[in-house]
Amino acid sequence: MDDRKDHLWKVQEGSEQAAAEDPSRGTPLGVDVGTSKIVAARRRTRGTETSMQLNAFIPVPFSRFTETILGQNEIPYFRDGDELIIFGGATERFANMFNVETRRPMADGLLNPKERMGTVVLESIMRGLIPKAKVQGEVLSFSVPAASEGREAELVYHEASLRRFFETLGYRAVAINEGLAVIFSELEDQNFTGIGISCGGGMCNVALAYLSIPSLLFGISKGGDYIDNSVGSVVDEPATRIKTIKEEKLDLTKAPADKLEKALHIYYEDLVESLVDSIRKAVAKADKLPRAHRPLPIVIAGGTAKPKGFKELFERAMKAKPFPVDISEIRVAADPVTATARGALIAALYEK
Amino acid sequence: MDPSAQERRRALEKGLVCEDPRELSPEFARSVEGLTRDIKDPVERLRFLRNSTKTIRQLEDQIPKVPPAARPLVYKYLGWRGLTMLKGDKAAGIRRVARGKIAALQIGIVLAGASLLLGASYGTLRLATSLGRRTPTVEARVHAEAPAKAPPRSTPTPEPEVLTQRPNSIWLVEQGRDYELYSNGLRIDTSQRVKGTRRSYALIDEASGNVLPLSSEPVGIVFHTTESDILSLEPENNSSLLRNSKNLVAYVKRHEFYHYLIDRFGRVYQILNDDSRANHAGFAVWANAGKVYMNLNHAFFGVSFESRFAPEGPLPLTEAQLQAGRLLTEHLVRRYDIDPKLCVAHGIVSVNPKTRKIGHHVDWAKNFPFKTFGLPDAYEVEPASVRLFGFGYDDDLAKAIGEPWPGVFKAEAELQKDALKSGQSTDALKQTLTRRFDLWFEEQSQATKSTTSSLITPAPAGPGVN
Ligand SMILES: Nc1ncnc2c1ncn2[C@@H]1O[C@H](COP(=O)(O)OP(=O)(O)O)[C@@H](O)[C@H]1O
Ligand SMILES: [Mg+2]
Ligand SMILES: [Zn+2]
Repeated sequence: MDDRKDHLWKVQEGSEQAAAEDPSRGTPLGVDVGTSKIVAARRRTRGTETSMQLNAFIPVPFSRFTETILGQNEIPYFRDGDELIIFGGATERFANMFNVETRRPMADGLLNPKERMGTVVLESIMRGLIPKAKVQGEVLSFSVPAASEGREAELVYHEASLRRFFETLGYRAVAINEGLAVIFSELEDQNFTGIGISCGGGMCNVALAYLSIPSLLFGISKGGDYIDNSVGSVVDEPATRIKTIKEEKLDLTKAPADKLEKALHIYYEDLVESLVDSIRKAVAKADKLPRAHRPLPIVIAGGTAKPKGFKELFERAMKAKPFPVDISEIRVAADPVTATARGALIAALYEK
Repeated sequence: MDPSAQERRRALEKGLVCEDPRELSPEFARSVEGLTRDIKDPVERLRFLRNSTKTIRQLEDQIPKVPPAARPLVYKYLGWRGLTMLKGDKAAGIRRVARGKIAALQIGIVLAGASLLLGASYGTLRLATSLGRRTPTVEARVHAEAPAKAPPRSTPTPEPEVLTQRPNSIWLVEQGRDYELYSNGLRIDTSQRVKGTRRSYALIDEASGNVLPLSSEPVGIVFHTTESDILSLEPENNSSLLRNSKNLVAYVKRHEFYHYLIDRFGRVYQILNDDSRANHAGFAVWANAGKVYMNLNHAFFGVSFESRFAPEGPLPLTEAQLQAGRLLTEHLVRRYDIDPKLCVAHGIVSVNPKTRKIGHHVDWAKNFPFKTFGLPDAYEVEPASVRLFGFGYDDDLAKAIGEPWPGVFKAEAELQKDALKSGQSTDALKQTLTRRFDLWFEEQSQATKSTTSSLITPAPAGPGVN
């Protein structure tokens, strides 16, 4: 993996309807603040650009020599006392090399209260991705998870800290639910009607909207990290290493070849089943759902939806029991990792 | 607030708008969806859907009263109307077609009658007035219905009590060579204060149309924003922030634009002394208690915030400006015994006499925090420009601020009723009223001119002053 690529804004082709670029008017931004990745999106003449950075860090002992090497290789870091904090894309490589776990500013979708360095690192990562607002009060929309039971207070803190940070960069910051952001980016053709799911590292977030108006928002605190940790403890390997293997090789359509793969399959199934179950329950329980005027599509985004065979796994779980509303289709977003950020961008442009 | 309400509020905010998830009827959804095909831009599509659903929500209480056969027409109307609000050049075609369709939706829709118009939500008023323009039969088909009940409002959270004291009266605590300090904490920098032309103005008695004797007392306040370059409050911007403020003061002084200017740090500069007029709201109209004020340069203080009006945004003010603005307002209101109903925002008093349109300047046409300032909400008041003079508004205003403020809709509904009562079309009535504007404007400006030699003709409305 070429770490430096992470910093480049990449242009997504195929969106012919881009707003003309006008630097004097500034550029609204959409930001997906995820447990494992931060993704930023903005509109350019030719389409939507996204850039991303891994939301992780690893401290190494300070020495001039190490510092020079990091500098020469353009690896992002900062100094904290007698440690150098390496953050972003290079983190995992170092972690695997030293056989330690990476550290994370966030856990389960929110700022990690147990991580002393959390806020500082998160802000450094975001500063690398998000330029200062050209125009004071430019709109920036950032994703937040849905409130899950017992963690409301944490969510308030998380959201307020992010908002304050974006404001120091000169933006007017608007929070958007992550699931709704997926609906904004993926269900335009359906007039933003349907179920949007984002399966990330720390959480899965779900939104159900009619004509763009959310009727149901919730999340479960299980995601890719849950798989990595569970598999890691079964096969006794660091979760970071499991993560690397999972991302590089996992194919859910193929029968598992060894113990590790078998464990990956088992926990993937477990995750998807709990997700579908909780959606089923939430939809059945919701008393305020409008009467649907047509069957609803489901679209799934997020890194955890990337492996081959994920969609089929999800479909199987859906078919296992009756579902309370009619579903027209189930699909995985074309670019699952940037979907939330692109949706947040639409929210920002709308708010502008 | 109970936890579930709080949760709901938060959930709604993240849904980006304060919508409630009550049922949207499938008929409405279908009808609106039928119109989205040509909207290629996701943001515009979102805007269209949100606008349409917002309107339907405002109308919800009324819909059951619409005869079932007419409901599809209402839905269609709302949909087409939403399309007329799309932004951008690319949507010009869609907007045009939509306007045509609205005209063609010849009306079988009968909302309950005039009595209902009064109590109804402003969405309804808007619908009723727009429909009414093309529906001379409204009156004939009135159903006798009970007035609409006001929708239950959720009670706002009480603010936590803070133990602070405020002086019962406001007095000058200390005066230095270039400042004044008042007992409520207001500090006015007077180093730049100049004497301008003395206030002297004529009012018009609304009932008789007569010009009243000249007066020289300040009676109200018009709030402005400077619409100047705004930098974020950061230490590295310090020298630029200071420079902007200084240049602004000099500029305002040179053109005698406002009486008071509040810079980004909350410093209150007095530019023109209280006895002078300022060139801040020449083509502007307001009325209160049977008196009509045309050209507010003399009668009203101009108080401007170094800020840039952002219609969608939150308060484009710094905390310090907000506080200073409140203190200054409190001071002026007490000292000159100003009727709070005469504290208004430039955007809602400004008119263009040539085009007969309101909202020529749009600073504070939205979002002025009247409540925070302890003032009645002027956005709810029927503006004299519309009510007395039949002024209208066009797409330019919508482009700048979205829907006009509620008072405009109320005034339009009243005009509509007047027209019905007098048996003329609303357009005819408006024409009569705009002629009245010309007459009264001329009369008051003659009366004012005859006593002062200064330039009382308002400066042409242009980019100069906001
Ligand atoms: N190709 C892949 N296969 C399987 N899992 C992946 C893949 N790419 C990323 N992931 C997993 O997706 C999760 C991160 O997804 P992302 O949407 O970026 O999450 P977040 O919103 O938490 O930042 C991680 O658990 C990561 O391991
Ligand atoms: Mg995510
Ligand atoms: Zn103004």
